[in-house]
Amino acid sequence: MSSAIAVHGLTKSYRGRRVLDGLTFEVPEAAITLYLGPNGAGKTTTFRLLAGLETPDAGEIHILEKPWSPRVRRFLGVTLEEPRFYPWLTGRENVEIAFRYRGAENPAKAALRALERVGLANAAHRRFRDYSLGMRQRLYLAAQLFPGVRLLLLDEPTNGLDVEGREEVWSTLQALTCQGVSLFVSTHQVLEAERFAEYLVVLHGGRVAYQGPYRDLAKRRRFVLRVDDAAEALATLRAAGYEALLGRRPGELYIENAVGQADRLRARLAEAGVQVLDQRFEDLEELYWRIKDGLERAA
Amino acid sequence: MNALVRAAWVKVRADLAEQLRYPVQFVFGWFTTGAVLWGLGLAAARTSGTEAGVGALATYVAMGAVSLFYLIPRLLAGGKDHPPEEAMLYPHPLARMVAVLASVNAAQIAVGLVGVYFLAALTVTRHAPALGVVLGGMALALLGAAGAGFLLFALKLVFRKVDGLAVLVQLGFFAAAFTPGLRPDWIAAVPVAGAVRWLREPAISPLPVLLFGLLWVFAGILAVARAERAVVARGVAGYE
Repeated sequence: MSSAIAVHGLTKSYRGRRVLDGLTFEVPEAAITLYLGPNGAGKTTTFRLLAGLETPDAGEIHILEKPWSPRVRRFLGVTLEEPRFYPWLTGRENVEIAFRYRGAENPAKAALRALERVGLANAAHRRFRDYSLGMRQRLYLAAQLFPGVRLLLLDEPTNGLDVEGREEVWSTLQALTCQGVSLFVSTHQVLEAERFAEYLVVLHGGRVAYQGPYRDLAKRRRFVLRVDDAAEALATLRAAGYEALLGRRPGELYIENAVGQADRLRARLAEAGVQVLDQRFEDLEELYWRIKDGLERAA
Repeated sequence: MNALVRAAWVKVRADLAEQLRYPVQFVFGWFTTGAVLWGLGLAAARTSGTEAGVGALATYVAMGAVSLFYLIPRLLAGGKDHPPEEAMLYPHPLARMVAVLASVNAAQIAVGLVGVYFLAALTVTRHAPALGVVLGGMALALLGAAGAGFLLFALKLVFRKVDGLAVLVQLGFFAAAFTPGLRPDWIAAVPVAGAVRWLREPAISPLPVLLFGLLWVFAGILAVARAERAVVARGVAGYE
């Protein structure tokens, strides 16, 4: 597997406070990689180091198999915090100016194509100040889709978007991977990202807590039951030899290694007079909590 | 470099189109600027003991230069007190981007103010001023002001808030240019004031003003490059 990003031993401190502590991970090419971690874990710092806005205290960064140098910016699109555009210029003009700064060939045409890719073709000639929050986010993304872009670092790209807007952004990102673009995306919207994630990097305490394909992590998902009597259900399942424990929410139970056993579990519980209200597998957010809790216990 | 110039030109064109959307505001905005500067110029001429036409021209030139000085730290659409990181992500050194954008803006200011000055002079004096003197004075003043503006840009990158200093320097430019009797030999080294002195005494060679202007620009560009390196090494979170 070739890497879009390879980071080794990345360390960064601010005024004696260590934010990243020997961070090491890889991001595969042409895939959506989610970068998860609590607030203040160092996600934005990582992005800033990858973009070259700051220099690390120690460690190495390789972008598209090459050691970091300002030259990688020719292939690297980055969104950070909120977009800043000229409010009185149209969406097309703003993107065109950004593309011209990048030395893109035929920037006017490329800008229109980028706006099409993010679903803003119809709003290309409206002024930025008249754009909604969701349109601004998508325009920010469009400004990174300059000709030749191969890697996108996106910090919370769906922040402030409504359900429809978020779906559009994720679909756009997925389409980009089909065109060979690699995406490294930090987000708090873990559940909506789950459907699109191919690879995960989980950050905790300035270190990588987990990294790997999402499907590998998904295999570790536990079966979740919501019942009317959790204590009785827990006793029943444990007596039957299941590895079960109480969940984070009232009435919920987590059961390990229960794939394909839903009917049997329900029958057991029915015999014990416990009613099953809902059943599902753990979602990515719960898996994330599990990784985080495990690390904190270990610490 | 060409890509940068073209990008700046697209913005200038779009700015102009935006101004032309409001023609009454556009025309009367320039008319007011012309009238106010001419009036100020006459007052400055009276207090400093120079000819009225020269006083007016000096005011136009000084105002153009100070506008550029004010504009340069705001060129790159960054947050008010935040480094212009969007620009730092482009594959160009920040100093080069600032220099190109400042040049385009300087040209914009020069064209606007020289045009208005010509119209005002023709209207008031019925004589067309000497184009070489007007353009020369404007170019010399803009050059020094650009250098000082780059230095301010560099300071803003590192220290974030420099508005108080910027206001003080602007007042200093006007004071050095228009204080009666203040004509020491080293005034050629002072941005704006050196150019204004040359306008008042065109017999003196403009070469020192030009050389000092280039020196200011060189020092300013160097400072921006140095400040960019310092900011990248320190990191945004390293400045609380």
